[in-house]
Amino acid sequence: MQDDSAAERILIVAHELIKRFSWSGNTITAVNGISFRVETGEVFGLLGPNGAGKTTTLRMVMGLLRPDEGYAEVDGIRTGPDSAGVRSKIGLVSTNDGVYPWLSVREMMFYFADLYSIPPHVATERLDNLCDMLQLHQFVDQRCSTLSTGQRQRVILARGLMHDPPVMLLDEPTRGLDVVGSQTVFEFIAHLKAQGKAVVLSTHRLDEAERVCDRFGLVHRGQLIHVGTLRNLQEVTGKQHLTDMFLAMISGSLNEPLGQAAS
Amino acid sequence: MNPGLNVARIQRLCLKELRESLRDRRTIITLVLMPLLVYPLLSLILQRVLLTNQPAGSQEEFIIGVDSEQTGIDLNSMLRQGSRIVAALESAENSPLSSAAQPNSTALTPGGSRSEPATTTAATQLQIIVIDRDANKMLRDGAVDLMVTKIATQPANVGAPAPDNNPPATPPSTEGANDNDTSSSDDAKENPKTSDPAGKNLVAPPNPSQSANNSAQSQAPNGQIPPGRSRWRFELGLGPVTMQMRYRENDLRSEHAASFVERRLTLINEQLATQVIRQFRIPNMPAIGKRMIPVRITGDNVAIVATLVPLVLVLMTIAGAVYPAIDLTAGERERGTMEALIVSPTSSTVLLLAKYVAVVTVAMLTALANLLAMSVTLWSSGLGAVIFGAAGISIKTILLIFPLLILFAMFFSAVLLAITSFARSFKEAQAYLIPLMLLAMAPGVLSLLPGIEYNEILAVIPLVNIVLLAREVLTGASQLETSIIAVTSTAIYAIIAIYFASRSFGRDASLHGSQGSWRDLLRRPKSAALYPQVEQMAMTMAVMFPLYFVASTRLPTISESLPAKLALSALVSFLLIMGLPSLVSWHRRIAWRSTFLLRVGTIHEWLYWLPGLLLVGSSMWMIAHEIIILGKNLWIETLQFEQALQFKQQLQQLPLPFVLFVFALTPAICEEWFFRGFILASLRKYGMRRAIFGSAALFGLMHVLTSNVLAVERFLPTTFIGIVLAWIAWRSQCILPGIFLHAIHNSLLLAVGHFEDQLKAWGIGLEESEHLPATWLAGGCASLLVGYVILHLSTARRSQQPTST
Repeated sequence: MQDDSAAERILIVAHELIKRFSWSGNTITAVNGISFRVETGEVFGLLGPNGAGKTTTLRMVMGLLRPDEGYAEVDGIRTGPDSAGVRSKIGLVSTNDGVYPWLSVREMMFYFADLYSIPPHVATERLDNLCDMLQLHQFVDQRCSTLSTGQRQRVILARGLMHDPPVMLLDEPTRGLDVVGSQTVFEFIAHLKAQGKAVVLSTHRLDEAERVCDRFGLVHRGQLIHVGTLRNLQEVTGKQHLTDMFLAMISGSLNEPLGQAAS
Repeated sequence: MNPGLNVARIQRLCLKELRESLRDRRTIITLVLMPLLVYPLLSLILQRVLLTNQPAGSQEEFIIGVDSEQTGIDLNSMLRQGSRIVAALESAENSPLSSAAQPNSTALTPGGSRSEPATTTAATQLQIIVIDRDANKMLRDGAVDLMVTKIATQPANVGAPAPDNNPPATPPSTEGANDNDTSSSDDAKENPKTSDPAGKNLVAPPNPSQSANNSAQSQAPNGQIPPGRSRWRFELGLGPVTMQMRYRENDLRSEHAASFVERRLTLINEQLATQVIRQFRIPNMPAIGKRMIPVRITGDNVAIVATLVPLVLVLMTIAGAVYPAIDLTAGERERGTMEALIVSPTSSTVLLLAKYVAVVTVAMLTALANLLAMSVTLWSSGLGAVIFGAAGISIKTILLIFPLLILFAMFFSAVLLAITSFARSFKEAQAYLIPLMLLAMAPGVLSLLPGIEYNEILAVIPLVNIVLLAREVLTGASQLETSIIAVTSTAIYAIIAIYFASRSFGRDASLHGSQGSWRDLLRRPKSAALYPQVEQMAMTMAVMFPLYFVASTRLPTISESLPAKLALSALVSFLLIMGLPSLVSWHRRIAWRSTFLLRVGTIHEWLYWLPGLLLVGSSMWMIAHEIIILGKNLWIETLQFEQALQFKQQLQQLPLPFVLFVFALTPAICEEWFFRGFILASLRKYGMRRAIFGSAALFGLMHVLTSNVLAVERFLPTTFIGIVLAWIAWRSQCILPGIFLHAIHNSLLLAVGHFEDQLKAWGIGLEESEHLPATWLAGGCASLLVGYVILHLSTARRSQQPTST
């Protein structure tokens, strides 16, 4: 892991991803040509309103969904529903993630370690570190059904790191969390960044994104409207805050197409 | 793909699933509570159903109350005398009896025995106690089973009770009493008063609904309580005394006690009457002699219950598996853990297998709990003896039933997982499962029908086969052939279900949104493939086997004429063995050319192939024959020679070309197409040796299983031929040489059979069970070797580049 973080390299590539969903005759293009790259130690914020196509994009990067066009690569390997090889390199934490109510936190962690073929002694050590980092010690042997929302979220974050992936995909990790909970998540992201992981964070909480992300992609209706650092975006849009850019983007697309200065 | 896929890891994966379902309260409920509740309840109902017709064969103890000590002594001596007569009667029915009576004024326990129709004889313990007051209350409360009061009767009313089956012995003086009793059936309420001379000690009259039940009972064929009597009270006279018996109506125990005593008193009366008749030397009395011979029958009720027991076990096993199956598949989705599972590098097949192990384990635990609960219930209630014979359910039977339940659990868990894997939520899974459960009930109920015969067709119907097999095992009538078919077909269904389960588990559609449907599973792939996959081959085999089995056993019964039968079987071969793999290849876009080795071969190649194939084809049978002889020395032979001989003679009547078409050309084309085409191609990736041996073993297995008799001895020779054919197909990369060789081999055997008589006339005769002459063998081996060398050399270049076609 240390070697990976030393070398600056591109870990995540999304290239012209297109995904259409169709049912009973209607076709909806959920993602329409999204491209971005994320390097080691970089946090990329995928920002957009609900239904913009963020989750679908992440799923295609993850390999859960097969893109209709374009491709995604993680660490130079194409992802897709059939590519099991690349999956151990990706950690996923999503809004909808749950826990096993009848298992203890420790049992659940070891289960995921087994899913990723991590030898038990390595798993024990790693769980210890994660407990330190996310303060799980006091409830690590409790059944998951007894955990509070914040504790659950920490368990899920820890679960995503159990196999120590170089790439982390976070899909709305702060939804439903209070200030303290969100703070834990952002500390977690900072930690990931320090470890040199490539992180994609999808969220609609712009204030939070502004604090932790190195670069941003503003997604609207399946398209990346703007990509760049906060300063880039400020220059392009002439707005100071993400929220304003966002509102401009949404209203702009309603009236006239905003300059598609993406990438 | 899964570098760390070791046993310990798989174990841990399974353990998680098991832990998860066993910690769930809902699982525990079906596992522990249901069996605890269901079987005692069930046994109560069964007891009602069965014992109204058939008294329990187990040991009974009756408590008989008497009004005074003197009555007790009288009754005891009567019963002893009666029991002696019973013993004498029954010794003729070879039932050894012990009638050790202990004369005791208050507690008398004469060992006696009853023999009721269709029941086993068992020792009956009697306890006679004196009750001087509140007799009715004690009777009603169940403190005594029978209350006997001695009544001094006037001579006019005294006498034998005139059982209907004993008219000659009935003294004329009993007319009145008889009338009294027969009138009672309609107004049971009035009857006690009119017939009880004392007018006291009345037993509470039965309520009307009970009396309705009762009249149904009295019509039952057991004849314990002869019809036309007051069913809640009857009297027996012995000389100048009348023994009045009161018993609880609709109470089996009490009724048994009454009939026990009644029988003995009747017998004494009969004996007395006979003696009187003898004494007075009245000729031809009794005019009608009677002799009752009890015949044990397995009545319909019993058959239903015998099926009901396995059906209930099966249903309870299902119930045990349903909840874990939903919880571990649809439940993952509902908990939000599914996505994390799917994104892990562990394949969904492994995940599903771990879940499968857990579901099967829970189902097995449920089965075990149910089996134990049922055995204990049957044993303690004595129902087991009634249903399954005197010995009841033996440990051996339980040991036999349990593997069946395991097999069924494996089958049904797979089906459940296949369905629940598809569901997105608990509710959806339940909605899918309810029709399935009803569907599962239908064959179960079908198997309840009495007189249903367990044949090969039923043995391949899922659920029915297991229920019927369990019934056969319970009644000790299981047959090897149907058992093997049932077990094999159930295993095959389980494999199919698991295949579908692993395909639908964690699919995109079930993860996000409702675009997916069952059609996804059958949707044709977009990309073409050169060769079929092993799963596809396994699926094809799994579908083909039962179809072929049914078709080959049932279709020939359509027509009587042999040629029609043979033509039909050839048609079935073409449709199934050749048609099915072709259909699968077309549907899955598997290239026919590369799979079925479709190429003609050059003239140059055939110049070498022809002599080689002729040499091998004409000598292969010798080796096969020797293998059969070898096998015979090792195992038991199972071929029915008489049948085979008869068949051979029938074949000799038919024109040779037709016989060759049915038995040489058809199998040559169909089997080469399937085994050396489809199967060999699917095993390609394992390398030449494994592919050849694997396809040959399947070839041998198919020949063992699809013959009507399980011809085990066919396995080795057929496998040997399969190896030769697969080797040639692999080497030549062409299907034709194999077809040619296969046809030569079969034709040769058929021709020998056809011209047997002529050959014998020339001095060439073959005994089926003898080793070949050494010269023949030497010649055969030589020709085989030469043929092998020719084929090996002529195909050398081809096999270097097997995928070049």
